[in-house]
Amino acid sequence: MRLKTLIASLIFGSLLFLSDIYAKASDVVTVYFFYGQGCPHCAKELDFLEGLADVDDSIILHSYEVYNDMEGREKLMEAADKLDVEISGVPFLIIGNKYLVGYMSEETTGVEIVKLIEEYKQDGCLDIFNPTDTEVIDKTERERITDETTGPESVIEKDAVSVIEDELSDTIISSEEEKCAPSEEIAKPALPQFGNIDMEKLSLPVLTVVLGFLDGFNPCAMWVLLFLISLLIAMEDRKKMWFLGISFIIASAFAYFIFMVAWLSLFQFVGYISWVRTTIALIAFFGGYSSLRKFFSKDPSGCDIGGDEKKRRIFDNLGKITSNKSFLLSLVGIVGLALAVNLVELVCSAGLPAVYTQVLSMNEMVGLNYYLYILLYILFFMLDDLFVFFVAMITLRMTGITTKYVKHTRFVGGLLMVAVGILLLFKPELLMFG
Amino acid sequence: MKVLKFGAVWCSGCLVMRPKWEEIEKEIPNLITEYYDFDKDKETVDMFNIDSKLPVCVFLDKDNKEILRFTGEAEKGQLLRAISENINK
Repeated sequence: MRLKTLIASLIFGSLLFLSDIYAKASDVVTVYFFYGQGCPHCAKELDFLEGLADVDDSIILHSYEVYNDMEGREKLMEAADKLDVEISGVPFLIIGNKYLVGYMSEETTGVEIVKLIEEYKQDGCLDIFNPTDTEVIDKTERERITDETTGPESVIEKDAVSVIEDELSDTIISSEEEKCAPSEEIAKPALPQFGNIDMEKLSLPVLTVVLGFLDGFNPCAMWVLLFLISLLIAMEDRKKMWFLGISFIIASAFAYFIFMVAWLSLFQFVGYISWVRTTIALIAFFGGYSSLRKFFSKDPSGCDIGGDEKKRRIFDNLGKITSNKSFLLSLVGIVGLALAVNLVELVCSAGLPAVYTQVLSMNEMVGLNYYLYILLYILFFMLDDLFVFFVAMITLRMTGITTKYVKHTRFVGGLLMVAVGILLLFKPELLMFG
Repeated sequence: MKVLKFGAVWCSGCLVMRPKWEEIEKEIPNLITEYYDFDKDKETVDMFNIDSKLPVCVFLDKDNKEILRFTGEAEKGQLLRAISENINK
């Protein structure tokens, strides 16, 4: 009898304890907010959250700066670890064990945040940084178990207690699984409205087009295409000529895409660290300065001579590939060569893509949009290649684009790079568009 | 006088110069020009020290002595002027 009383007291005590926790979960909402100094979306969200905390005493706001503050960054890493997610940037908000990436406006993300707070108040969830404060069980389940264990007809045997404890434990888990599984909310950009074009939203596409176009005049990989065209127009098989040329261009674009996605992923991972951004800013600044110097120098236009042996080898390989009787082998060879050449020329053509992807990573958007921007960049990057290729294929005469334009693009590109470098250093928020 | 033209198949600027020279050669049929490929005609390339930029055109007098050189892309008018000034040398 004494044993039964002891067990019943233990269960009752446990339930009282859980009941107390449940009350805490409903009353207090701890909001963890990670932001970067100079990030305009973060500033908007912080204003919004502080406004909420002012009018609702149950909201406790903890905010952490991550660009310059090592402790804030460590806390963010801890959050990533606990949530088992890769955090690619700020603003980043955690309520319970739900998180929200990015911030658009009060009408969109703001509503999502209020919804998360309300959900947390109603259901309660595991607070990832402070789990013991807020563990909860489903209220109705708790009442059911309480009734079963304390009701007049219940007879509690030792084995039954274990069953109830197991059931209780299962309930907690299932409740957690149903309501508290970590979930992600991404701030979704509102669709642009006709007749109300927001210039800020246009800035990133314009920057993408301009930088892509200017990068296209970088002669790093153009010489290979010209080599190839010189061999193609001498071919009798016109179909093969077109097919090999287009395959080369597509493979080159693909290699560049992969290269830019790699840059973007890197910056999404470490781009918010201030010294990484400073390094990219300095690359942009000095790269731009070097371009401007070349523009003002009295250097004649034309093609720089260098890397004779490398060019010779590639020309020989192209000759072998295009003259191969097997169409499939030619195709595989041309694609392989395009990928290899673009990899070899990575260092030569790294500047603008690195700076552009750093800027891109600072702009909060839905994942797919990053890749669409990179595709837009590459489309304009390839424009001059496409022009040279199609003119040569149609007229069967080789055409070049005057190197005098290279000088002009150096001027525009140089100015842009210097401007981006300065902004990255002193006013990065101006590069976070929209 | 004759003009030696140096270019390469991979050089965009050299390709731009090709039609310009074709027009000049049509307009001045008695002009002697010779084309040397940077990658194939190494001996001549080295002889005339073509080692920094392409395209290059070298004007030679009757004794094969260099009298003028254009490095980089040149305008058709510039070339015509240089030819008319030196054609009898």
